[in-house]
Amino acid sequence: MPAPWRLPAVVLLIGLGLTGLVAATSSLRAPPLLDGVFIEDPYRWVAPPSGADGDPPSVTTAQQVVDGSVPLLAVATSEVPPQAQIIAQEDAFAIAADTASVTITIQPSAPTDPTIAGNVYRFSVTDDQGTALEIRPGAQVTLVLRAPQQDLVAQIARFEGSTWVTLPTEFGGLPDLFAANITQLGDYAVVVVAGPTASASAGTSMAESSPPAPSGGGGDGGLPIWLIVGLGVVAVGAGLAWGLLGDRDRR
Amino acid sequence: MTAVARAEARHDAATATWLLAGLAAGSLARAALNGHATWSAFAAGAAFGITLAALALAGGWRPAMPSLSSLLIGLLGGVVLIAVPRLAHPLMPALIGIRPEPFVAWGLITGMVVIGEEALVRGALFGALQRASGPIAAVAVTSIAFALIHVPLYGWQVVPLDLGVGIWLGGLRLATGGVAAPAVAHGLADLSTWWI
Repeated sequence: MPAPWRLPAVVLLIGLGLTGLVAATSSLRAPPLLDGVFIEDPYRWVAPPSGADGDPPSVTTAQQVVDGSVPLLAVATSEVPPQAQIIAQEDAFAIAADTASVTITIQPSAPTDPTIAGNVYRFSVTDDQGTALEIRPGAQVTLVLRAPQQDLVAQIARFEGSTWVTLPTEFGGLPDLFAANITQLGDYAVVVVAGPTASASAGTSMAESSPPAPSGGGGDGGLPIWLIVGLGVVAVGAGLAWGLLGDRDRR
Repeated sequence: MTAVARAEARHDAATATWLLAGLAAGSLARAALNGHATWSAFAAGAAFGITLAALALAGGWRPAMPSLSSLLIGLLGGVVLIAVPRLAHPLMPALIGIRPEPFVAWGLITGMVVIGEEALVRGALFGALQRASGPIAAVAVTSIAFALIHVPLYGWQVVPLDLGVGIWLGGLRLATGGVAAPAVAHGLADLSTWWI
């Protein structure tokens, strides 16, 4: 007969192993996303479609250099969740020896390509002389961009002179957040790469497209809210009735 | 197996089935009602937690005074959940901005969601499945259910992580015999997202 602790120990090890594997294969140090209250501001567009919100904020912040290197930094625009953020490990940027501080800027602009979902964001880091800094080879710098709607088949892309070049992209913590590691600063956006959303958006400018449906399920042509809520009420009622009647039958 | 035992097993299987149906309906309804506004998200979260707790009570689960050892094991389990991603990426800061104000309301609603989920998933559902089909089935089904109920709000990408966390919480349930340890671990991990 196995020891009583053996099964719980095995289950805990499996759970820890899977959790650790998922955490290790993600480039983000996101805590386990289990619950909480899920709130997202409506997406803010530089060129808002009719009825959508505009005036997306930019952000400029200074960071002091410590012991000759830029400390780890996380800078984001002010929406909830941020529509653009940059996360960089310590000493990720090449700086001159006399640099005292660096300035990080995230600036939104209108999309230049119909496959772009949302705004384009320019990420720049400059030293106190205004010189643009470059990312050190091998340094980990991660961008997180939010798309205006959930569950897009999309990737983060960098503007390379005349075209958008997609980057290996992963889940950014929520259905509309995308994350990618970068080796250069510049202009980045979420680009729809496949699926019906891509073909639907390919022939129309984002400024002319309809505003995104509210997130949180129930929209986008899915089941109507009243039906889902009704099913929930029926299920709960049936459960309560079954629990009460079942217990009575067993007595 | 005696006729009484068979009837008990059938009853537990049926209980597990309707609890799963209620859990699915509750998570879909919460996602449908969540909306963009703070008030609607708080209301949907509170209703979700209360509904799940009511289902758990209807399913036969009853709250009990937790032992000190269960609480300590739960605290340790929560610290592990928080530490794993930090250890995996010690040089990287965390994501920014999934912190809906005010904190007191957020913490309260988050606590209600945690209690509701744990009472139902690791309480009533786990108990019914364990009696009907054994502990391995209980851990497997509750872990899958735990991962799937987060899909409507957070997307399919969370399934691997929440499956792992669900198994971990199921292990805490098995190790301590109650929901206090997984509830404390779950709550600690959730509340930590405000700061890290």
